[in-house]
Amino acid sequence: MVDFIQIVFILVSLFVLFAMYMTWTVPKTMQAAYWLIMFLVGIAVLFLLANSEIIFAFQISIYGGGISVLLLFAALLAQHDDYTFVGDSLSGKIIAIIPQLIAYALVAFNLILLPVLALTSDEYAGNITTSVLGDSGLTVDQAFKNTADFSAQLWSTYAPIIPFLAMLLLTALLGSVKLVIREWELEELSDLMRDRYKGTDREVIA
Amino acid sequence: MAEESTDQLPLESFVKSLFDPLFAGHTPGWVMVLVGTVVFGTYILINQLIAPWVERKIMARMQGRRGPVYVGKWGVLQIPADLLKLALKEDTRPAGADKVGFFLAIFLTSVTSILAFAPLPWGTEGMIPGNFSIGILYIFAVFSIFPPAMMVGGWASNSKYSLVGGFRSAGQLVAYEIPMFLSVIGIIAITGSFSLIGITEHQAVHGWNILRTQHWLMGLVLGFIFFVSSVAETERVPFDIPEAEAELVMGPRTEFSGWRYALLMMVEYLHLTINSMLFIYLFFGGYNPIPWGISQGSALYAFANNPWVQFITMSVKIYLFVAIAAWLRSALARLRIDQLLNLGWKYFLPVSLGALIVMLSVAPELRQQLV
Repeated sequence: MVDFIQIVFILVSLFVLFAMYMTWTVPKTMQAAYWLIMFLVGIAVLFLLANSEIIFAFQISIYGGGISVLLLFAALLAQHDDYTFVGDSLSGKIIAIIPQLIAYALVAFNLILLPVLALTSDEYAGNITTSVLGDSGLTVDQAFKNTADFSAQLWSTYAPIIPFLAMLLLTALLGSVKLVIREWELEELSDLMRDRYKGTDREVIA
Repeated sequence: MAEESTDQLPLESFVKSLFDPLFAGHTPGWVMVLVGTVVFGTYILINQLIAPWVERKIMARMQGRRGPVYVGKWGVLQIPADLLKLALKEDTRPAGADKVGFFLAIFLTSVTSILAFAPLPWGTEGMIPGNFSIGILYIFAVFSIFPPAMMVGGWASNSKYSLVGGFRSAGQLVAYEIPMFLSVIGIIAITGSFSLIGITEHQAVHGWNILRTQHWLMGLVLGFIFFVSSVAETERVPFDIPEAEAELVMGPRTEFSGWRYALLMMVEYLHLTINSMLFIYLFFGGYNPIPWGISQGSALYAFANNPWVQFITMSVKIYLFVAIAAWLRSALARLRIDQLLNLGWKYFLPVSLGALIVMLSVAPELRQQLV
């Protein structure tokens, strides 16, 4: 029997998938960054609904807040806020979109697998209780109530997903390094900045 | 039918008497939660209309003016009139603005500000919107969404003023969040609880944290750092660098008008209220009216545990801090951006860390646990 909280859980999961799709398909870096924030906040709400308040708090503080600010600073300071991913020609667009859709399908499959496993498995039937009001007297024996239980689940039931996520994070890291590295074109700098770039700023200041 | 508990609040019994006939004598919990949310939400929002008026009156008196006088008795309806005017204005968005980002900035800042009220207790049983076991972590988590939201709002406005303001806002918030959190960790360790109710109840027994001498008055040092950091977090004078009007018009808020501007201004006062409440719970005894610890048998115990006394104590303390914020706003000049960041990173961060270490090393509560 699916109760009200489980319906909310599924709706939030769908929102997470939508935000993830938007993150990959919007043309500008800054747009991708704010959709990523929505995606991370959505994941945090899933943790809250699964009665894992501590993981919710850390997910929001570290990923929704801290990492997002770093991403936004990097995108804006590297002047990549108007960078467009999708090419102008039709073939360029197709080439750009196909790998994104494949990666999206892979991650979506894994993300859907996790809540579906949790909600349908006999092992957890009657154990996972969801609550949006925190400590409401409900007992959660096998779910993500504390970090010890969470890590135990993470490295047993969901262990196959971890290497996949690690690869994804590594790819994201390399991608972000590539994004931030920028070959400055001297023509697009102001006179002052061009002189500084050439190392003759002392003369300019004097 | 079960006997009515003597601990039951007048409000609780009134709601029960109202809804019991509809639910065959037993009002379900969700109705109580719904009614409680509406009652507390209305009280908080009404206070958001009064607090700016109080602030404007205090600032006016300090500057030899009269403040708002025309709308309502003593000008008390000035803020609702302003709100009505803003809500009825044409909804405009700058050309070239990013539609989703422009909306998301307002949505995220206003929703997170309202959500932050969920674990804040107004008294003991029956006056608690949600008893979160991680109340303090929850509030810090919800607040951490604020800096990226302001940056996205600044970028999405397609204005240089907004963009620079968004940068400054995020930099300032990040710089003061860390000393603010460090000053809280000591309190969490000593009380042994993340829950704001647990922290407040601990102070009911041992006295207000800011005055406790067992920790070499480190509560006073950490309290001062927390208070100044919380003023900086609200981006008000003397820390209103993101919106320094002589340089940046209105900072990240420059391009927002009408209902959007009204919501952003409401968020500013919600932040002021939440930060004042946090300071009260952590250092000023929460809803306890008595500054020193009281035992269960003492004459003051019944008085201090009366729910209405607790509720009024909380309201009075909040307005005390609104008055202090107004005082600071009219008495101090704005810092420069480098002074502000130096204060946060070079002074508050090491001092809060040092005070935290001293507090933890002399705390008798922790020594007992180790033994």
